[in-house]
Amino acid sequence: MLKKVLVANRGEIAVRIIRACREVGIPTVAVYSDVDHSSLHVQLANEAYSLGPPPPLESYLNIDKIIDIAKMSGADAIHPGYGFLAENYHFTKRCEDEGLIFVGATSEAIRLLGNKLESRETMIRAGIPVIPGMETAVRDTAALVQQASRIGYPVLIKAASGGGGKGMRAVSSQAELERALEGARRESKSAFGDDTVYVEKFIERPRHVEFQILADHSGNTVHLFERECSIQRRHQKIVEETPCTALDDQLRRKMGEVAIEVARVAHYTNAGTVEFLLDQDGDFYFLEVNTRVQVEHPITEMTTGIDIVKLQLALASGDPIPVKQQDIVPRGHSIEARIYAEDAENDFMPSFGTILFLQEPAGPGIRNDTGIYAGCDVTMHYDPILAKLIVWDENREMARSRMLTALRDYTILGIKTTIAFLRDVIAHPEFAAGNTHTDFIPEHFAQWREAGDEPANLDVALLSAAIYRHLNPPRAAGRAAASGPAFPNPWNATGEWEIGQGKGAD
Amino acid sequence: MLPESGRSARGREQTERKVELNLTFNNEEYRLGVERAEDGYEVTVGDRIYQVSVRPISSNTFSLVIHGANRLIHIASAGRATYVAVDGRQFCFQEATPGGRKHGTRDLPIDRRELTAIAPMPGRVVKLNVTEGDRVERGHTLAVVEAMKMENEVRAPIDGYVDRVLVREDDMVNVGQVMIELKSGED
Repeated sequence: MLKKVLVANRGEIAVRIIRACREVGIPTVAVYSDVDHSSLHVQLANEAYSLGPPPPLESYLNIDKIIDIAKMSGADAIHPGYGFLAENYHFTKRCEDEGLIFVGATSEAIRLLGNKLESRETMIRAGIPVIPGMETAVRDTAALVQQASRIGYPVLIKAASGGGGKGMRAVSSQAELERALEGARRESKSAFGDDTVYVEKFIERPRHVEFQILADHSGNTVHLFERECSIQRRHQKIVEETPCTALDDQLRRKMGEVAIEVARVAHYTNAGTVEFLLDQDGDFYFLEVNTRVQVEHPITEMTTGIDIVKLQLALASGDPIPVKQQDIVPRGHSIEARIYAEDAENDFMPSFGTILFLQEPAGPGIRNDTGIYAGCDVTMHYDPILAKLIVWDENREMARSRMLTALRDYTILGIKTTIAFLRDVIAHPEFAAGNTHTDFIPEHFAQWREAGDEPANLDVALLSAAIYRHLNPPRAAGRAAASGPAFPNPWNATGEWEIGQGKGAD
Repeated sequence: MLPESGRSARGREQTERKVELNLTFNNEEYRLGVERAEDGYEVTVGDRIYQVSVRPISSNTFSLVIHGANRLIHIASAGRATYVAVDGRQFCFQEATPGGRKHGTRDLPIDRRELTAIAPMPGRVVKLNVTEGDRVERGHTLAVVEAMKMENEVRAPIDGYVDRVLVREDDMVNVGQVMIELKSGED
């Protein structure tokens, strides 16, 4: 077993990993940037150390500092979470060289699979189906333009070191290509520290279907079945589910076998995800391997009963996979909805500020993986994911209904979030029918506005605001307005609210 | 609902006065009035009158009883904004105040608005492509704003020339803030 784990991440995934460590009795070390000093992951860890200023390159991407903290604190392992350094093989290599256990794949597997072009070549040689596109890296813009013309528009620009849709741009004509290349390179540089991009054929209205894999150091590899992640905005997933409605048993078995083959070809170890695009004819193409724990891993945990993060810790310490493929039998249906700090009415622009009020849903089959609490600040520096709401029920329709109810009970006040938008997505008749594809959001929700369900709700909200004001008169209004902070502590303004007062009179 | 016993004299005075306020939502302004009534409150929303009672739950939560039906309300305010959640739907109201915003296009005369490039979101100016006097075409990327690892291009709204650049690279900007002023070709 690992002795002490440094979690080189923040937000909900750091919280998730720290909780898993606590449950198996491994002490944890959190790291944080200045703006995260009171974050949930810092509160939960046994030890916490500052990384300094908030920009990622100086904090959560600062390899030297993170390695130093690991050694200083006596950690023997580092869990990278997702994003940041999770798929940076230089970091993994550094851990290996320094004698630290990296909870994930080897640096060589991450290097190979992180280079989308090299992994394409490797998979083509192994007979794995891939999307038509470039096979060699080209830095020169003119050559990229030429390649795009050869492949034929529309094309997709992708970051060679990419993931999570960062640096990805769909381009429908040569006229748009140069500017899109510039944007993709800058975004890729900022997100991954590498501005190499490549071009491949853009497949219209595909489904995104991925397989969770697990591999131990003795070459045993199993898959934990699929997740469908077609509901995306800006090429980033916002709703995921398992099982996928488009797979029958035969296709599921075939894709699972290919996923395991991909892992074997790459000499993969630990947890990973093999991503495929499934086109409208039922043909599937290898997309890439995410060499880390995936944001949407909880839905697989819900249907298989396997705790992927705990298994990551066990596999990293050299344990064998404790189950055989034939013993992994998924049950029921699970859906995840990602709660982002974004304005869905305004092109998903980021929204930040203080969370003034938070009420999270609870009940049977409801799981909330979160990195926030009432009173915390959501800053502009990092990915806007706040929390993930995951539900499980016996079948898809029941899971959908449970998700709708849980989203209704999820309230975050003070910043814009995607909660109401997610409800409308999951309530949509085409989603209910299982007709999902990666253009679902642009196709059905291009000009989305929060409906408020019924006009009377607006009046209810307005009169509530009036009553709230009546109960909480502004204190020393002139002074507060002149010098007060943008977000006064709501607990200072409790006014007439004396909890329990009403009940005493009954 | 709210018993009179245990309430301070100051509290009674506060809860018995009539409160009036104007809130804006989606560019509509709503006039609201609220005062204590026999069994709760009488609230006016525009010309509609509601008799409601309130079951307090916590400082940010209460049940509103309207015509016998319960509505669970979560509510919080910060600055001039009041956030209200009703049945999972969220409303953000702004208190209408004279003066308005400092940097917004709203303060500009209508004929100037189309000559400005405004920040599409709050964030950092990561790229500034133009300087004063530059010729630009409609749709040309003038600047790039970044927040939460997301980039947004600020495009020229017209063909013309850059009149004034009001931001520098690395500056923080607010949503709606005027970043660049343009002038049309004839000037």
